[in-house]
Amino acid sequence: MSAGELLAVLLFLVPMIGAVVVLVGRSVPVIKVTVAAVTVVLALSSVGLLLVLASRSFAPLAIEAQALYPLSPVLIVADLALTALFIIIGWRLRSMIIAAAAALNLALTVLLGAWTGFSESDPAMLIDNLALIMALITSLVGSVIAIYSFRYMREDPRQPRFFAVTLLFLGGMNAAVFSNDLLWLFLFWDVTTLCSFLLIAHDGTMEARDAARRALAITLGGATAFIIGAVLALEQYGTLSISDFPVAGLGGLALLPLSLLAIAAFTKSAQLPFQSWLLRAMVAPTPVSALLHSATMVNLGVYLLLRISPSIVNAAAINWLVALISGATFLASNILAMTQRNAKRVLAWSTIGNLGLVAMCVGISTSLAIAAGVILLLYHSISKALLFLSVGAAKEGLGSEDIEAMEGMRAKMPFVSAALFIGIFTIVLPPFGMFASKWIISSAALTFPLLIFLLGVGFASTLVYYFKWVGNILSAAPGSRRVTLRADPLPANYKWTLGSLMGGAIVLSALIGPVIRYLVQPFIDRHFILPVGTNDLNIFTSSGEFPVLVLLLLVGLIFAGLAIIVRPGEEEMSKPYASGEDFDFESRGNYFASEAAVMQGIKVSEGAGVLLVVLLIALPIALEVM
Amino acid sequence: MDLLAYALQVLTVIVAPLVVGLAMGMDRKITARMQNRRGPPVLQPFYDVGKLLSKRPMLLSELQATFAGAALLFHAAALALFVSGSDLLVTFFVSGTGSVCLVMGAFSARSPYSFIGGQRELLAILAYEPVLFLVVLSIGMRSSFLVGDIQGGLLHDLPLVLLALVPVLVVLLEKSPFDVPTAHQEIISGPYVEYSGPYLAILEVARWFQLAFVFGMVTLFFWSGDAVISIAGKLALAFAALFATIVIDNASARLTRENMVSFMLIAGIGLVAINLLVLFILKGSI
Repeated sequence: MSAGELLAVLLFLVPMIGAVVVLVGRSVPVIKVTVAAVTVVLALSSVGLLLVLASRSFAPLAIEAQALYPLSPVLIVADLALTALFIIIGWRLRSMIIAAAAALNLALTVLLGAWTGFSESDPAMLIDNLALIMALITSLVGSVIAIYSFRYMREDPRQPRFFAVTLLFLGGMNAAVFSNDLLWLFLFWDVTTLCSFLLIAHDGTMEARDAARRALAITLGGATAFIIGAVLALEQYGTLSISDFPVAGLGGLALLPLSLLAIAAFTKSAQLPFQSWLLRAMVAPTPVSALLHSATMVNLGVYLLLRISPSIVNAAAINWLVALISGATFLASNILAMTQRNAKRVLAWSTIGNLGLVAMCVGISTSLAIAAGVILLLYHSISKALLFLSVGAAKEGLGSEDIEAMEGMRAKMPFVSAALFIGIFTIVLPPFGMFASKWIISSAALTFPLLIFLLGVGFASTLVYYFKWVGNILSAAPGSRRVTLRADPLPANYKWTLGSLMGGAIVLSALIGPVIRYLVQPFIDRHFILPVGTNDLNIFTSSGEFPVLVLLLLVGLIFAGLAIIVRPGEEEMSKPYASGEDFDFESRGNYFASEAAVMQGIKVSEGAGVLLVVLLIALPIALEVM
Repeated sequence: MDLLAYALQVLTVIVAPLVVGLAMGMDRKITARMQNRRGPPVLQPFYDVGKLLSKRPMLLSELQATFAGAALLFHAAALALFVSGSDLLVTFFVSGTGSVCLVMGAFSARSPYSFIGGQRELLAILAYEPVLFLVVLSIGMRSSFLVGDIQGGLLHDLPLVLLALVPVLVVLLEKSPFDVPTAHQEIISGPYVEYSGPYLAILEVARWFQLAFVFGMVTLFFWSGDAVISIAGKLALAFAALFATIVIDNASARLTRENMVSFMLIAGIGLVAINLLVLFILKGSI
């Protein structure tokens, strides 16, 4: 076994073993030691894997099934057992849909197994740069979230269950992105479905159970689309190996596997019309939300789209539908985010919108767009994890997740406020990482002019809902007592976890040139012609240039300079102008839409989503018939 | 030669906002004449800024000063990027950051009118940013986003896109019917209400830089091989746009927030869409 293979196996096996240890050990010290050890292994192995791939100048690392010999039979058994488990869960939840979907999945898995003689396609695992980026996100961001949970979940009576599922989730996610064999990918896809179900139901309340049931029904339905797609892929393309999918000359029924896999991806990434489960999942504890939104789960959907993008790009009949579905999702979710007052719901809509943007990039189908999608996915994970964890820390101090409860928070909780500001700035403002990808997407969308109209309104809405929130945090009463950043009584755990994400978001923004050249470019180069250029200081496209470092330096100088020039206390502090009256005010409202209007908006967008998804299935069939 | 071009660019970055200041003075003069008044001297905006700078600084929160300075520097950076021929899209986003800084400055002073002004300014951004974004993309669609590479033909190909810029200018110049964020009769100049003295002067100059960039985009629509004709045409086009906003200002009353957003988005996006569609039909490609 080579070093690369060993590290890859460590990345998914160690968390799974850790999960078992946590379940067996049960006591808090054992959990802490185990989880800490696993995060260390994850961090070292993922960075090690980066170095191994770098040493072979980012040539993909193929792992044959024989190299993992004792593992593959185990996986087959696990696959069948897991699908059977879903039938039992469906039965116990008295949900016909879940039970039926699970039964269908089981039947088709057995069919596929019998068809291929239970032997994997080679290579069973393929680690290229896309898989590497995903593994880095899952391992590093996931580890930070796990450590944050030590503190956040400290009074939870079901800690063993929580940490075991979290570790299993991270392992399953890593294994899924490494898998090249569709059946293996299906198994780990289902592992993440199971983990999300268990984590959403964690609190055990009625609402949590309902949300978990909804999540399971939708993502299991997506898994059914996945497995049907796999069966059709085997029938049409003669292979279950994703890397052997044909990249040209697809038409008629040969498009159907791609359609079905795309729909599976949409369920996982909570795109319209499947978005409802992610919003309801907000009942789960905050670390779960952070995990679902940044390190795992929803990333897997757009990962699959990016993975099969070489085929989708040349399937001109369906890629515009993918672009439309995700473009509509992007627009609708950003508009709906403006109407929300709960911070976690704002973030949930924002995640849905950003994943829509990534999926839209695949639909646009130019190399430039796909590069932008990968960059967006990477930077979104870090900033979104930071935002969710900050909301969790704010909730501990304020007892609420409402944006209005955070009014004037900068005076009372400066550290969390700074974390929220950095999270939001790195998502919205130039020249941070996410902005670079938005800039590339804007250029890329020129080949699909309809999309630029969605982008324009979507980007402006993003500004509105994020800065409404920032405004509330900023709005501290004059003369109120300030806590300084250093004297902030925030627990050390939160300071370290939030601090590392803040540092990561900013440092990676500065390093976007190398990130594009060494992480994103090798994946794009394998399938497409050269899209984006970089000399590590600037990013180029064929039609523009973005001086990243110059701008970053400028922003740094602006704020450092202002901090030096502006001396608090020297100016005379006045009272707010209120037409001569003396009163305080509450900053309520400004959500622009009533509950009913929001419901209606969701219904309309879902309707459009259903229509487009039906079209996505119907079109290949119609093409075949004609 | 290179050094000369560089010096010329620096000079433009300094002179352009001053020209905008002068245009603001002309604006007040023309508006006064339309209303049968004499109006202040043309140099009044400069007298105002001078006077404000000499006043005693007063604040509600030191962050106000930070964000005022940041707004100025971001808008200045945007203009510098524009003048040096950089990517128009990047320039647009940097300028947008400057506008956001104004909003954050308004929020950081906890005051009822300032707060409402901040919220309304965000809505104004929601109204004009998409249109401005589409204008930028339509310009870039022809060949390149690099301002240095953009040459003639914009006015010929994209006349409706230029027209879509007029309501954007109305919002940015804080004129009726879209002076919603700063409505002085209702919310006492909104985001600016808690600014006074030198900080208000900083924000005013920041606005000049912002307008210099947007008027700069208007001037892109005219281009000629002859430098003199080119500059004269550009100035004429910018003045025509300014005059249009003055006429609109004097002929209309303030709309509500909802009207502002829906009108701007429907009219602005509609104009750009029609223009691109016609261009596509005529040329077969954009």
